[in-house]
Amino acid sequence: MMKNNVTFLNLILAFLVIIALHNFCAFDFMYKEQNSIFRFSSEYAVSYFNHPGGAIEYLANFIRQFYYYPWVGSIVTGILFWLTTTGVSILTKSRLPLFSITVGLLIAVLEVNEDYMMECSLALILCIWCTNAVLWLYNHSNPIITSILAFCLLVLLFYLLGFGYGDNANFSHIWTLSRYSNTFQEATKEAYYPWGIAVLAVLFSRLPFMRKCENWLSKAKKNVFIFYIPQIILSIVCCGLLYYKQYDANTAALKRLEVRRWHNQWNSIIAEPLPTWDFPVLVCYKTLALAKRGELSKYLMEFPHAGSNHLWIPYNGARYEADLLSDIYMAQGNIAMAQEMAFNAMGYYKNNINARLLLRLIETNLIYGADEVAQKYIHLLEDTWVYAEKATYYQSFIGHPERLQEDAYLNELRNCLTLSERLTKDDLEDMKGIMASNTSFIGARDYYGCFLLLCNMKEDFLKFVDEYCYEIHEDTSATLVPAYKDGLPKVFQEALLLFVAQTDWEKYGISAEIQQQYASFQKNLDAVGGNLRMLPRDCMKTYWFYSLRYAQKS
Amino acid sequence: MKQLLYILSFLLVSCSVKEPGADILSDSLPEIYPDYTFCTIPANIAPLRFMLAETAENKKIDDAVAVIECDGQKIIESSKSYKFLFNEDDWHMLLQSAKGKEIQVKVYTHKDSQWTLHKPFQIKVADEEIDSHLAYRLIPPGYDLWYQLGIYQRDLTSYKETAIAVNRLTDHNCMNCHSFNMQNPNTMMLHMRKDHGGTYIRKDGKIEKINGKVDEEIPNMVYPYWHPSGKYIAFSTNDTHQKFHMKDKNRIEVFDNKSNVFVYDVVNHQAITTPLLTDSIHFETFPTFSPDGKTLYYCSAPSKKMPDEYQDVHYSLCKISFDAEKGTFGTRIDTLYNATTQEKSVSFPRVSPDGKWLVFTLSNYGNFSIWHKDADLYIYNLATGEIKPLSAANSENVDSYHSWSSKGHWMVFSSRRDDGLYTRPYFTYIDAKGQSHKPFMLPQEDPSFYADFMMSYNIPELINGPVTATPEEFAEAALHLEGQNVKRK
Repeated sequence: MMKNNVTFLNLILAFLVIIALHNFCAFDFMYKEQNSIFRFSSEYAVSYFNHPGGAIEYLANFIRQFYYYPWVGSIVTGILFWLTTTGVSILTKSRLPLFSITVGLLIAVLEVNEDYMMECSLALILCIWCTNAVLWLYNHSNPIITSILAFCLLVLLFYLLGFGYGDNANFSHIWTLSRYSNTFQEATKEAYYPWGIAVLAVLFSRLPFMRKCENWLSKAKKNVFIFYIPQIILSIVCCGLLYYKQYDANTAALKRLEVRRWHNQWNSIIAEPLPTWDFPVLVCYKTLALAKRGELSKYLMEFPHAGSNHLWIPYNGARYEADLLSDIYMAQGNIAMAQEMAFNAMGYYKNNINARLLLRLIETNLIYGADEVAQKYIHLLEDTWVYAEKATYYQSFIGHPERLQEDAYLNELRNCLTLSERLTKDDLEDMKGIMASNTSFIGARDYYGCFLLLCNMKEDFLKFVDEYCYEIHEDTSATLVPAYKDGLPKVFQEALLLFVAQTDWEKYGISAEIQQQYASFQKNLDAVGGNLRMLPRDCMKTYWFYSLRYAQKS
Repeated sequence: MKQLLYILSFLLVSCSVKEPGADILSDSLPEIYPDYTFCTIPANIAPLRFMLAETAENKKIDDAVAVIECDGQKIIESSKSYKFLFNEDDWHMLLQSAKGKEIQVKVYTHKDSQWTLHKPFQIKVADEEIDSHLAYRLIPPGYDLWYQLGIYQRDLTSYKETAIAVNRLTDHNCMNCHSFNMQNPNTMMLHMRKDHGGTYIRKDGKIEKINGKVDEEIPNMVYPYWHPSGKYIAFSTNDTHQKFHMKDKNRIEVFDNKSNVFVYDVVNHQAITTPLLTDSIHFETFPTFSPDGKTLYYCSAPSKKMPDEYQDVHYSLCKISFDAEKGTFGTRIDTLYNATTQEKSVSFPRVSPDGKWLVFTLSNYGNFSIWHKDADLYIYNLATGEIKPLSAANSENVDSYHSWSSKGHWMVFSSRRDDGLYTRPYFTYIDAKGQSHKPFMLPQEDPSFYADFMMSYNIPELINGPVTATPEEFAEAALHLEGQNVKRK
């Protein structure tokens, strides 16, 4: 009866775990999807099954590929929770829910951690259930058969889990705690906790005291509640504390933004609330999202900027920096740097493979005409679940550079290759070359102009507008470049309104609407006596506000 | 485990496979990967396992058989997975009897209930064997970062690869420029950079750590070459940088802002210099001793403003005498190949063990030809001064870093011809006339290995036995040894 209750309780808890994880940690799981690649190919399978420990990794990689989709990570973790909790419950004869639920919850909490590997959970579950199987056999069969089967199970477990066998047995992470997702850091010791508690649970459940406890439980139904509820609460509190300990608001936001970036959810990135605006990387996602929509110079001032590092950050060797910068450089039309950063980011992944970065490298190689390299990467992705379709699409470009014209995105970027050969110098110089090469490309112009404005570089900005936003014709007349054929973007107009004499407003096409807004801004500024903080919210979303605040700060 | 599977499958197959009768005779060669057609191989090389290339035509095939034969001996291998996994013992047996002869390879493919026999091709088996091991660095072609890299050795007679040093044990630092004295695995060195930085010299089973920085003029030790006596190592000292090309297909440009050449006295821990090799108006790099140790060859270019003039840097091939007894340089520099007049650039000179030939890489400019698609191998006759390309070995892609076998009949070089990016080791036979023969790529246990492999083979060096040092020994030295300072002589 009690066992049925426990099973039922575990199921309910598993359901609650799934709901909780989906609500609070869905992005953590989607983030982990990138940590490995799974391919439906015999070569891939052989590379894992040919050594002890490979099988469990193969299984984990297989499951992890579906983390691409929301809910999957939560559901899988819920199942892992149920398998662990129920397994330990059986091991402990349901005597110690505190331990069994704690082990399950620990698994759930650890699974959220980007550096924790599912292989560890699967290994623990296998060990628990194999132990249960041996104990069942021990009770239902003769000792010789049990011993033989136990030995066979042990051999099977060794093959499946590896137990740190050999240099290539990557399952050694369970014993060495080495991590592959970011091996520049040391692993946390928390991965050992579930194992330790599972062992403790078995030991405690065998204490004579537990039998007395069982007798007491069978006397009254309320005793069951008295016994169980505090244990469950204690367990949840302990695991909650562990989760809280590893939780960091900025990291959580970073993961959400990363996942949304990988899934091209640009509108969601713009709408995503940030825990702080003082962490420039987070703002870079928002400006990148604007750039991806071609609206960086239109809505730049929608966000409270604190400098040019809200557009892009210097590369300091972190994976997410390289990964993000690859996208930013692509948005700037800087294929060379986008490729370099993609390579750098990929260096952090196991076996130097990351599916999404391979897609980036396919793009850069197709743009450069390096079809053989692109083909190699396409080949790797064709056997995957999520990325096969895109890989197949890119396959059609191999050997047919002319088809790139049919793909607006790739063709636009190909036109960004500088007219004359040069080496990458610095970001601004590179963008100058790109702007000169492709007059219809907004990305480089937007980034360049916005960078100058966020640095309040008036003279350079005016030079940029004259040189790169206008084309001079043979008759010395000047017209806007195709990228800005409908007029200079809003932020640029706001800046020009400040920087040039009123007589030149018409020359730069500063609209009547902007002029009216400026008049209104000035009126509001006068009304609050120059106190920028008192200005209405709309006024704060202008370059005029930014430049005044910049002047105050400096 | 994998071996066992192969052996079992071989036993099963070898019991039943017979050479099929051909219904159709094709005039075309089979499309195989790697391309081993008409190459020259040593008799002690591991089986050249190959597969049918993944072409649209080959995908229609439902069965295939490969037959290798020489003087009546045959190996017949059937494959439904298009991979021909020849048994190692059978292969070696056949090759030993085929020394100095040609083996014939026939490939049958089965499609629409008919067997097609493709045009057979030959593989020449040279009389001379190759050194038993190849040392190389495995590194992803990433450019600023390396999370996983290491220096490995491969037994060329089998598929066994073992690690010499891996950065997993040394805090993921960079390690490079492994070098051996006259292909001897027991006298070697390698550099580590950043964390645990220094030069690690392993001699007589002991590892010594050297602090690379001598003074401002010699801030580091870079490209090495051992003096045949084992008493000296010639080094260049380079201020190296790299940039990406915005448009060029070469992807990356690696260049030196400054470089000089000096000789390190291994016994006395001294740096031997001469103003001829350390002036500021030239870039000197890639030093190489002649086999008698009396001459030091190197590359030299008039210095330029870098990186602005990177395309104007042309390295010539030069030499200077070296007295190993006194540890002194000569006073005259001879230019063997004037790159400035040819508008070409020389890198990686390597003299054959018999002292007859010098092979170098020639590219349009610069010194890091590893990224130059125009880079090709050239051979210089040291007796006559004649220079000719190693045409049979060269390809349209990068053919660069090379090293000789201990007896001088074989050369290994790295090439990007396979996929345009990842360097793979190729072996070419150099005959008595200094002619190269069609090279072959390092064979792998699974012929599709390279398709999924995301590492480049860097600095392939032939050695005449295995390095007995373990990665743990190098890690131990890196983590705990105090570096020996070097002083000027």
